[in-house]
Amino acid sequence: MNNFGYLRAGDVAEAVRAGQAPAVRFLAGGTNLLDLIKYEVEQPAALIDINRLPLRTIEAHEGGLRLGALATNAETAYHPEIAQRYPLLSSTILAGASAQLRNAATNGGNLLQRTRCLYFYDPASPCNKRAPGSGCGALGGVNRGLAILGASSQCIATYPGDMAVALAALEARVQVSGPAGARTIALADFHRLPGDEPSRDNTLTPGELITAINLPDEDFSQHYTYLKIRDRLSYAFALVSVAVVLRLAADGIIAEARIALGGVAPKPWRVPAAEALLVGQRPSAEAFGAAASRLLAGAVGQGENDFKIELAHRAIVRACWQAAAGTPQSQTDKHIR
Amino acid sequence: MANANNISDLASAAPPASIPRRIEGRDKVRGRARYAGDITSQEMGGVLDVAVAVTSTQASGQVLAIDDAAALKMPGVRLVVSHENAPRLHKIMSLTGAEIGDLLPLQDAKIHYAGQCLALVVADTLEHARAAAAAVEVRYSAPDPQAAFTLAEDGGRTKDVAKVGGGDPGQVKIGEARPAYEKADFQVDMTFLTAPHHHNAMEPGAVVAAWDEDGGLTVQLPTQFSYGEAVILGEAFGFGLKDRLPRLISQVLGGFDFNHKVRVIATLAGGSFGGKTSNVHLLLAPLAAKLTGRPVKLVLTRAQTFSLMPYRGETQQRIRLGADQNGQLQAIIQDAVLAKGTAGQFVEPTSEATVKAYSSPNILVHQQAAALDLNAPGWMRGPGACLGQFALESAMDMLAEKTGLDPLDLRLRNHADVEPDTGKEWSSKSLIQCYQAGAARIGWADRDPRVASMREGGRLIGYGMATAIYPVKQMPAVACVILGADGQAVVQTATQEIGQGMITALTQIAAETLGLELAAVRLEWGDSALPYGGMTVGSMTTLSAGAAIQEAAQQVRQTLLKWVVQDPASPLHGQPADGLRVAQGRLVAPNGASEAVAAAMARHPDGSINEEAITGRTFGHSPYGRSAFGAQFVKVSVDPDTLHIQVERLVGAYAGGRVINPVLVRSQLLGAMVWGLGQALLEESSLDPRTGRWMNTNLAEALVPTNADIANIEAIIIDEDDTRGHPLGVKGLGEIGIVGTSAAIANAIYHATGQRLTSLPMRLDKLLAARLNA
Ligand SMILES: Cc1cc2nc3c(=O)[nH]c(=O)nc-3n(C[C@H](O)[C@H](O)[C@H](O)COP(=O)(O)OP(=O)(O)OC[C@H]3O[C@@H](n4cnc5c(N)ncnc54)[C@H](O)[C@@H]3O)c2cc1C
Repeated sequence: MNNFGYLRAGDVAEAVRAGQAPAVRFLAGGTNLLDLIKYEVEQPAALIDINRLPLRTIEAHEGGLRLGALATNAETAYHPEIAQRYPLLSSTILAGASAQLRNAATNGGNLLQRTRCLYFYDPASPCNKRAPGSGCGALGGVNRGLAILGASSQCIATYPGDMAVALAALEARVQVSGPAGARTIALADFHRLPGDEPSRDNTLTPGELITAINLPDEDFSQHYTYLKIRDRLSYAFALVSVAVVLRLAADGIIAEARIALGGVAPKPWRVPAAEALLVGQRPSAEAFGAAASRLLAGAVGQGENDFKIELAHRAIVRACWQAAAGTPQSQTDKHIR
Repeated sequence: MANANNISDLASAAPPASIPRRIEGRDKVRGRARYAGDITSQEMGGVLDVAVAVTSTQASGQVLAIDDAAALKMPGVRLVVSHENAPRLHKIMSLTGAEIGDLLPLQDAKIHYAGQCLALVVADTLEHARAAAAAVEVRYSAPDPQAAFTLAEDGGRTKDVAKVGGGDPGQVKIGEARPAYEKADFQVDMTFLTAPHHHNAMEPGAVVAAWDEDGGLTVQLPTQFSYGEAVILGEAFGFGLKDRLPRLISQVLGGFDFNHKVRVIATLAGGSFGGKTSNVHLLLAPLAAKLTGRPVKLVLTRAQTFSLMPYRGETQQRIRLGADQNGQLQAIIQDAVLAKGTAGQFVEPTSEATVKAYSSPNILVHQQAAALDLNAPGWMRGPGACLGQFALESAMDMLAEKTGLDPLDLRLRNHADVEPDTGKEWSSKSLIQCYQAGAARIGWADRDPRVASMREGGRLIGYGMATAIYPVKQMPAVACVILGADGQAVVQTATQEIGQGMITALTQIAAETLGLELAAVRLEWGDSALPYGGMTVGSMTTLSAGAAIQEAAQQVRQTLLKWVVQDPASPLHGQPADGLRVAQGRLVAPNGASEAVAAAMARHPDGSINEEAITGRTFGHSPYGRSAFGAQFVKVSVDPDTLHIQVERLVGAYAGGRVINPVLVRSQLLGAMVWGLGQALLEESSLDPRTGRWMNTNLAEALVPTNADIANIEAIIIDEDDTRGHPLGVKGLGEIGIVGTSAAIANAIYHATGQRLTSLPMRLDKLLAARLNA
């Protein structure tokens, strides 16, 4: 851990101004950032503590909801309106981390949590994400948890989080303030693929601060599921996760479908063409299987993680069935039923 | 199940108040218990520097240079110790086979494994030491491309071993197993792999060392063997004979002590289970403190515990079983290849249980070890037996299928009525009662025994069972019991509390033998300045230290009774001494006359009665075979799509002689069963075979079970009289709960799915692969 400066930002403008200095980091819950500093993966010159900024409210917004960037994961998951209108989001958040972490973790920080690739965490190993140009230790190494989709020859890391997978299915927008003013970014465009620049996880520009996440005015509270497959039932990152929302017509025909995958790619993975395959279909093993195959088209294993391709296929089909059936979900009982 | 106590019932209601609670328990739950890492400079006379270790990032080659110039200029830094300036240490003999018996730290430039300690940075605070450690630059020679890190890549390093574990034979030949196997009506031939996994105790390695002006050394750390650590320090730092092995031997043989200069104080341990003896850091802190002349504290990081502390190494086992038409075993053949470190003598005793579990006229064990370019594996709960039984009990399950016998029936047919490898009668054995109690509790007879036949709510259901066995051994120990003028007793023996509840159990033994209330007895433990208390290993502490305490306490009681009946001032004067009882602090004669022990002792001319006893000199040698037994029963459910494996029920029934404290024993058994579940389904230390580096070196990535993974878990204790084995009647139940758990789970997965998993941990990707290949 290096010595670093510390500034407590009084308002958003001050935070954004300070955030333009080189090698500074915003400090929210600190559950990811402080670990990375201790591992010497991050060596910030200064931390800008944003915890006093007025970004903690969850409020109505354009018929939907606006989630403050500093609202905690726990506050968000247990918020009555979210539990009622966006139960997918509640379920997904509660499938992540542990109660203690969710109490500290913020919505903004959650979107920006970094990969769990073991080589990223180990400063003695090569890693293009941590040290551009040093190589990728995970290629041919311990890569059981890593990407089968969207990777590059430079980096096979995944985005590890859960919440963003639900947000991708819900088509949320991320609201940011930066030196050039405020803008919103569609969740689908927020995280980026590594290409030959794996050090950049997302499309934020330097100094941009997340202020809120906007949930659109849509109702997927009847047919949704978040299926998270992991080695143990709590306190583990997803090997594969699937967020599904469906809209069924009165005759049971699928009118709209959205499927987002977690744990398999550098960003929550959606394939509109796969979702389109389901529209106009009745729920069936064939239809779900075809959508799964389309979603996973082009998937490649890296050795240890080859199994994820088959596992993801099975998980997608299962999650679609659960969503179609309207199976209620409790993440308090972690068991997969 | 007439005499089975289902101690899991203790979970629902508070256990009876008559069962003493853990004496240090209140301190532990309130965060008041003190561990080595908690020691402050105030406690060390105002001075306590902090050391941070710098470790090797590669597994082979040489250190070309250590550039500490920048680090030495940083605030608060006192010293950087490396092989270039470390004092030369003397060779030591490691009683536990640990790495430091062959490889002393910071003595030369050679690199033996990744994560080896290359330097220590000593500073006034942890922050300063850590910052400076990050500034130390190490230059390396190119690593050796031939380095081997897994058994599969052993590169011709495999060699037969003469001894495994604590001295069990590496090779065993009873009868003629190969021809018997070839001729057998039924044969099973299977190969099993088990992944390395680390202790990951909550408390990492931690040590505080201080040299005094007279050249004496005091070291405080959690350890399972305070005397052993003192001897290692005495040898390594060149102390005289009085601080080396002769001190220990003279105590055990003659009960006399030398004037010694090395003192080791065992602190409370935040998890130990084999991981906390003869660690490298035992030598590192004193080494730094010697150079600075000031006390030094060293606490390892989580990642450093992966390379500087022992772990369970990788193993491969091939098991062949041959049985006749009736399912009677004719041959057991075990061929094991076991990972060893580049240094260190420890080899996992996988055969320990294999040669004692079942009656078979022919048994052949062939064990080999391969020295990999890794830090040394070492002791971990249920050493050997839990891996050996994973293989043997999985193979027995397949034999049951081949012979068409119920797995339980097969085991009953092969019940070893005498100890198989010695032919000795057992001192006691209640395995059949364990089978019966466990089977009844889980509903074994009600299952559909056909493979892949059972379902509940869409999930595949399976039941499995396995035999648990763990040897009973006893170590020499010396105990001193002092009954004071106030009627309170002090018991002294340098044994160790490693979380198992030793303080409470041994205080109970003393109180019961003396006839005093628990609160009237105080145990002094863990300090090598006390009488020799033995090692806290192998489920032996209650028996080893307990035997010495019982004997010394009996002598104190005898002395007290003899004296009190001769004391004219006592109401018991003139009574026959052997007719008196002592209970709850009162001496009572058959005629009803009585006197409080405290009242009597207040008149005692010497002010106290002191007695010392030495027991276990023959290491528990007995005309009988001695072992604890148990039976594990498991119900699993498996999701047919996602292949998530859930252990729905875990029922263990155990017989281990007398239970001094059922609350403590229950914790031991449940904890061991949970560990067994983790070993079965989760635990693996991921090695990058290209670099020899452990990669998942933190608690977020090295998975152990969470509460959600453990559903319904029950431990049943079978009453057992083992006074024929030892007058104290205690066998030991610290480890047996982990033995057989993984096999019972593997067998249940097979019953549920028809897929036989032979490699630990049994994660869903392995089950998926097995299903796709089926
Ligand atoms: C052991 C463990 C297990 C976990 N398991 C899971 C899991 O199963 N599923 C899951 O989804 N997550 C999991 N997590 C991750 C956890 O959810 C994240 O660490 C947490 O959400 C991050 O939020 P934070 O507020 O603590 O962020 P911080 O650590 O404070 O920040 C993270 C990053 O975001 C930046 N940042 C924070 N807020 C803003 C903002 N408003 N604008 C711009 N930049 C910002 C910081 O500069 C930093 O780079 C786990 C974490 C741990 C330690």
